[in-house]
This record gives sequence, structure tokens and C-alpha cells, in this order.
Amino acid sequence: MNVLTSPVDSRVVERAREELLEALGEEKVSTNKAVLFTYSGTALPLPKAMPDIVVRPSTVEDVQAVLRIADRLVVPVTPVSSGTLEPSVIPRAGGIVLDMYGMDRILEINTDAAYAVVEPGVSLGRLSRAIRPHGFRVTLGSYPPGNSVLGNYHLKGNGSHRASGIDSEVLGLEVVLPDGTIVRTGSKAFEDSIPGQSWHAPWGPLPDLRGIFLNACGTFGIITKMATRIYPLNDVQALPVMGFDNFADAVEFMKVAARANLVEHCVTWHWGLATIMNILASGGNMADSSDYLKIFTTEPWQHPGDRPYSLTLNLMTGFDEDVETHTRTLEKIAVGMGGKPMTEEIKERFPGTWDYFETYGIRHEPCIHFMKGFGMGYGLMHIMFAEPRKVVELERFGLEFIWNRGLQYGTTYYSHCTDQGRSFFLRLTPFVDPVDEAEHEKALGIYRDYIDEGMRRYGATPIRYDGVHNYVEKAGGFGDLMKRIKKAVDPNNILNPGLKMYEGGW
Amino acid sequence: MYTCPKCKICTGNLHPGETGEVFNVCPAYTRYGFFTYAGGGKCYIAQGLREGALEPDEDLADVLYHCTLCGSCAEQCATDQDPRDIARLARREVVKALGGPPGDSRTIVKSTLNYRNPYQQPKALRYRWAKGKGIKDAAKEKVETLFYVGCTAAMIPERTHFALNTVRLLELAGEDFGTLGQKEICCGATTFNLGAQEAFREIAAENNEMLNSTGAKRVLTSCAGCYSVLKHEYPKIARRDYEVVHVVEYLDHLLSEGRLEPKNEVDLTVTYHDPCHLGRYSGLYDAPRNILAAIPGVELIEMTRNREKSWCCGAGAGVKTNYPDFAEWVGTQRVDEAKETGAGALVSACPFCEGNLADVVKATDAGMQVYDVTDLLLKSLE
Repeated sequence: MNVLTSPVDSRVVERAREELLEALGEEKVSTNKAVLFTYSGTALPLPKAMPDIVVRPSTVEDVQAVLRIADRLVVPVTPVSSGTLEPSVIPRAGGIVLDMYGMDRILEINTDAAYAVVEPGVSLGRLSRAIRPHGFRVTLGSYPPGNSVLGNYHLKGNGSHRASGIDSEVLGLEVVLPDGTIVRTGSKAFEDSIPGQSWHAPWGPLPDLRGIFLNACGTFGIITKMATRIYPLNDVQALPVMGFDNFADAVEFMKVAARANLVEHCVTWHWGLATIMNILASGGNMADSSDYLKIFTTEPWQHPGDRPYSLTLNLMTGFDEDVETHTRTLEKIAVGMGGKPMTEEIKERFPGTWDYFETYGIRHEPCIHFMKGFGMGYGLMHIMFAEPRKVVELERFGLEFIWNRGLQYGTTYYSHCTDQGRSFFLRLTPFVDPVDEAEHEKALGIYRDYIDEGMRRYGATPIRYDGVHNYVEKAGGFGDLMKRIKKAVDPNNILNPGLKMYEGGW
Repeated sequence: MYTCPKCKICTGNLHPGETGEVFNVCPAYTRYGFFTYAGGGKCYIAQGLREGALEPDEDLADVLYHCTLCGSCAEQCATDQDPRDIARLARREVVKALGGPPGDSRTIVKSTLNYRNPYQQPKALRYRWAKGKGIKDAAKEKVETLFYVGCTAAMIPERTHFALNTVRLLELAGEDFGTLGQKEICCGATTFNLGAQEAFREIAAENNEMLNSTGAKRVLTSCAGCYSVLKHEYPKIARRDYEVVHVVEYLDHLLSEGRLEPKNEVDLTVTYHDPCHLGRYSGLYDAPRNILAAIPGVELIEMTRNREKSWCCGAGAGVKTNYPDFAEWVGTQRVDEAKETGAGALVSACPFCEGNLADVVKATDAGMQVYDVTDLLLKSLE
């Protein structure tokens, strides 16, 4: 097992430890090796890295204290909340891991303006259950219920409202900078001078600075509160499923459906993923299923023959009459494009898959179905966004690229329509044996090359910083501006330097 | 262990479809907060040990043994892992490296080996509870049911009522039963849970052979810990020629057959605590509740965390010995939950649970009575 040791000077660590113990108390500070190891990595097959100290704050004042100490002593700080898969939480520079999962209050549920204010440790499961009695739901992806709302939503990704053009769940943030300054964005920025502000507006008379902190993995500040959109449950939720024989038709369909405002969200599943989910969610053992063999011995870009190549899920919510009418319209559009309504057939032939679809798209609850897939090992997340035509090409390229590089297991994907079909999220998911380090190395190389090729050939955009590619150096004036902001905000580079976003300095 | 995705579901009841508030299910995680203490954390500890990234030292032992092996994590796990088994494997490594489990629990293992009980009590005192009872000696005379008393009921005076009640109930039912008397030895449950696998195998093999040799059709026990290890772990070591039954199962059966007929009113509002080794380990949720329902005058009010979601009493797997403050904290959470029901009494079906909960009730002046299920049944019969 590849575990990086911390490069931080042990005398500095000891000083930090003493000061942290004095500031926060021994219940919130640990240097126990077993504890450190648990925070050295995630479930992804990436090399682990030992921190020196794990701190579990429970208040904003705790976070301020930690950052002031770390900044003065120049000790790296890597924030984590649920820390399930996200590579950015691996403390590659050692130092302090800030376990934010202990800050777990739901501070406000505003049913009038439809938002909730949460601390980093509030999970999707908890928030989901807390707002349901009020007639609301959260945006969802494939996330398990224990995942942090804030940790998840602060990252750019998919989510069950993207097709309708809602770009982010985040209305506002409270962030602590390395010098302890507290920043609140949007309408809440005026709270200190004019108390009683609410979180309703992401911006105001001043520039929208949410973006500095979103997708930043804690490199500009530690987020301590998030005001997040919540959505009404409405009268009816529906999830008509359409089947297509190729990905291109599915993409075109999603464009039409989203741009005509027929759906709240739509996402397309590759046949391989639908098959795997059926096995996982039916309580089956993948090794016993002949479907399993089909996934991993069949070239994933080939039509499977006995099931559609693509399944498009259409999340709909609203009044009964509208949903019924829109469903019929969607079916008509799908048939006109060579697809077919598949809802009843999916329920019958793939009950496990339907169970997931229903949990996610009708009951609007975070799911655990994907978790069983970890028995197979999830490889790195080859996620990119591309324009509609390009994403179709990228899909074919990506499947062949990964297949031909010879990983032991195969790959599959899902693809979300975002911003009314202006950009498509494509997540290829190769499976990697969780204990085979040679496979991990190979998978990492494939990931790196796939991202490079995707950007070069198809103008695709990677989803977030991964510690593998140096995007800042490639980003021209934008990268230069990022460096200047970073220098101003975090002059000692203590905030998640292990991500190496600023390798080479600023 | 490698397939733990850190989804955190082992820390709270977060399954889709469940309604109501989310509540904590893992005592160690709830108390200490670092993921390491949760079921998933055990998986990562085990990975670290296996890969040589962690040493089985005192640091690791301190985290690993702050766990009662209650099984809430296994109950919740989205990937169907059993962190209890993983934790025990890791504990075996600690025992190998350190020469025994940490702290005072090392004494438990030594005592079990030397005295065939974990309480450092001479073997001669094992049967004092039964003096004058005239119970058949199952080692000499074949019986249908062998009542396996267990070390706690036999040797801890405050828990002796488990043994006395069981004997009386079997008599009232006209059951043909006996005990092993002074020859009875520990079942080895605590050594098993502490990771002292060699000691466990020695004790279990000897005990199993003795139980087999009696020819008894069934072995009945009033201890949830004994029940769990006899039922689930002994068959992995050697052939077991007897059926294992817990007293609540058997009493439920006797009641349904009409061999016991509770008639006296026991005017009491109770709440029932599901012992981990009866509940999550063995699936016995209904039997104790059926017994309580059969007692006239008893009204059962459930705690929020009941059945599979039951919060541990805090005593098991060496925790009460090694970390009494933590055991008291866990027990206090449970007693507070019991008080919230408004019940006048807290009832359980395990001497370990009763011991820790009763200690907490006393220490916190909780003002609740603590009973075993058999206490109430006997009140209604005599």
C-alpha cells in the first residue's frame, strides 16, 4: 500500500499540536496513528497520505483558531467532510486534516424562499428527512445519504436539476480565511453591519464571489456554512424512461426535452450501468450473474442486443395534469427520434435498476445502491463536460480508449444534460480491483491520458481539480488571476497545498 | 474491508425510505467523533494492518477496543460488510503483537484460562447460587434440557436472579432439566470478542465437548452473550450435538403451549432494551416482547431506538472493564432514552446489559427500576 509520509517538520507539528490542544481541547485533536490513517485517503484507489494531526472543530470559532495557528506556523490544512471519494481530501502535504463532519447543524429551513442553511457535517440523508415534512426535497445525484450536503454541493457536478439550467445549489457561503476573517457571500455579505440579512440572493450590488470558493476544495478558505436551494415536492413526481439504440439519439432527445422545459432534469445511462445496477440493487452477487460477464467481455460501445444501448431518465415534478401531458409529449418526441418508452419494461425486466430510479427520481431520496459497486472497485472518475455533438464523439472515444488500454474490468457511464443541453456531463466509470496496485497505477495513467485527449480532441472540460493535471498553468489569464487571488488570500499556501493547484508557485 | 466507501451510513440511520429523525447508532463514533471509531473506520484500520501501514500497537488498540461490537454498523452497512468480524480480526493481531488485549481486559483472558471464568473467582464458588435447590446434575444424569447458567449469573451476586428465575420457571413448567453444576466453565464469549482467539478455541473446545457429552437435546441459557457464542461460533470450531436456546425463546414457547400461565397482575409500564447479542446478532426481537405482552398489567412503551436500531448498553466486548467512563456514557444515553418513554421500569434479557444499565440508573439517580424479563414473568406466576 502506497502511503505518503508527511513532509512537515516534526518540531513544527509538535508545536501545532500543543497549540491546538490548548485552543480546542483534547477531544477535538488527535495524533493517534490509527486515526491519522483513517484520514489518509478515500475509497478511491489512489495513494494515501498521512496527515500529522486530525482536528474536529464544532464551531466557526474552532475553525478560526485552527487556521490562525496553522497560518502562523505554516502547517498545511486539508478540509474534509464525508470524504467518500473526492481525491482533493487526501492530505498529500501532510499537516492538519480538518474533519468538518462534526459541524452538523441545520441552521435554517426557509420554506418561503426555498433554501436551507447547513453546516458541513449535515448529510444529505438528514437534510432530506428534515425538509420533507415541510414539503421539500434536495437535489440529488448518485450520492449515498451519509454524504455531506456542503461538501457535495460545493463541487461542480451533476445533480437532479441541472438540465433545467440551475447551475448550482449554492445561494451563499460563509467562509473562514487563513487569517480568521469570516466572509459571507451574496445578500448575507451585509450581515455584520446590517444584522438580519437573509441568504436569498447569490449576489447583490457587489461581484458574485461564490465562484472563488466553489469547486476550490478548500484552497481559498474553509466553508463553514452553505445556503442551499431546496425544491418543492409538488403534487406528483414521475420518471418516464426512454430507450435509445445509440447515445447520439439520447443526447438529441435530452436537448429537446430540456429546452422545451418538459423535464426538471434528464440523464442517460449506458446499458452496462443499468445492468450492473440491476444486479446490485436486486441483492444479487455480480459474480453469479451472466449479465456480469456480458458487461466485461462485451465492447461497451457495441449494442447489447437484448436491451437498449441508452436509457434516458426524465425527472418530472409538478401538477398531475401537466406531468401526464408532458409525459405523453416526451414519449412522442422519443418515438419520433427512434426511441421507445421503456418505463414498464424496466420495472419488469430490471427491478433493481427501477428501484434505484424510483429512489432517486420519484421518492427523491439519496441512494445506497451504488455503494455495493465498491465490491468491484470504482476506478477514478473520468468526468468531463462537452458540447452536445462533442460529447457523443467523446463517449465513443472514451469507451474505446479505456477498453483498449487493457484494464482487467470494463467501463460504463452515465451522462447528465446540464444547462438545457448546452453542456453534457459524461462520467466514465472503469472498475478497478480495490487491492490490485498495478491496476491502480494503470488506471491513473489512463485517467490522466483520457483527460488530456478529451480536452485536446473534443474541447471537453474536466470537472474539477484532481492533483494530477496542472490546470492553473494551462489557464492563461484566468490562471494568472487565480494565482494573484491565492497569494492575497493564502500567502503562506496552507490551504490544501497537497492538491498542488499552485505547484510552481504564484 | 477494502470495499468500504466511507459512506458514513454506519454512523447513523440514513437508509432511504426510513422516516422520522435521523438518530445516532454507533456509540463510539457518537462519543468520539472521529470516523476511525465507526464501523467503516475499523475497515480502514484493518486495511492498514494488513498492508503494514499500521502497527498493532497501543495507539491502535485504544481505538479498536473502544467498541462494544454492538453490530449497529453491520446492521446499517450499505455494502453488507460486517465490521464486527473485521474488528475481531484486527484485535487478534493486537493480541498477537502485545501478548493480550489492552488494559484490564487482559485479566479477563487470564482468568478465563486459569479459573474457567472471567471474574477471577475460584471454581469452587461457581455453584453456590444453587445451594439447596436440588437441581439435577446433567453430567451424571441425562436430561432433556441442560440449563447453561453462564459465569455472570453464577458468580455475580446481583445477577444471580437470572439463574434462580430460570430454574424456578423451568420447574413451574415441569421441564426435565439439569445443570453442569460446578463443572460448568465459561463459554469463552469475552475472550472471543477481545480477540484472544487461542484462548477462545481452548475454552470453546473443552466446553463444547462437555456439553456434547451430556447427551442433552437442548442447551438453554439466560445470558445473551453465552447464547450468541454457543449458537453462532461453536459450530465453526467443532460439531455441536445440541440445540441452543435462549430462555426468552423457550419461555415464549412454553407460554404459547400453555405450560406457563401468568395470572397475577403486574402493574407496571415498562420499556424494553434489546440486548445486542439477542437482537442484532440473533434476531430475537419478538420473543421477549411476547412474554411481556402475556403478563397481565404490563404495558410496553418502545424506545425510539428499538429492535435492529437498539442503542447498545455499553458493557460488551471488554469495554466496561477497559473504559468504564465510556461504558457509563453509553449506558447513560440509553437510560435517558428509556426515561423519555415515561416508563417506570427498564427491562432487558441479558445480565451484562442489566449490570451496566443498573449501574447507570444508580449513578445518575434515574429513578427507574431495572428488571430482567424473567423477573416480571415470575411475579405474575407466583
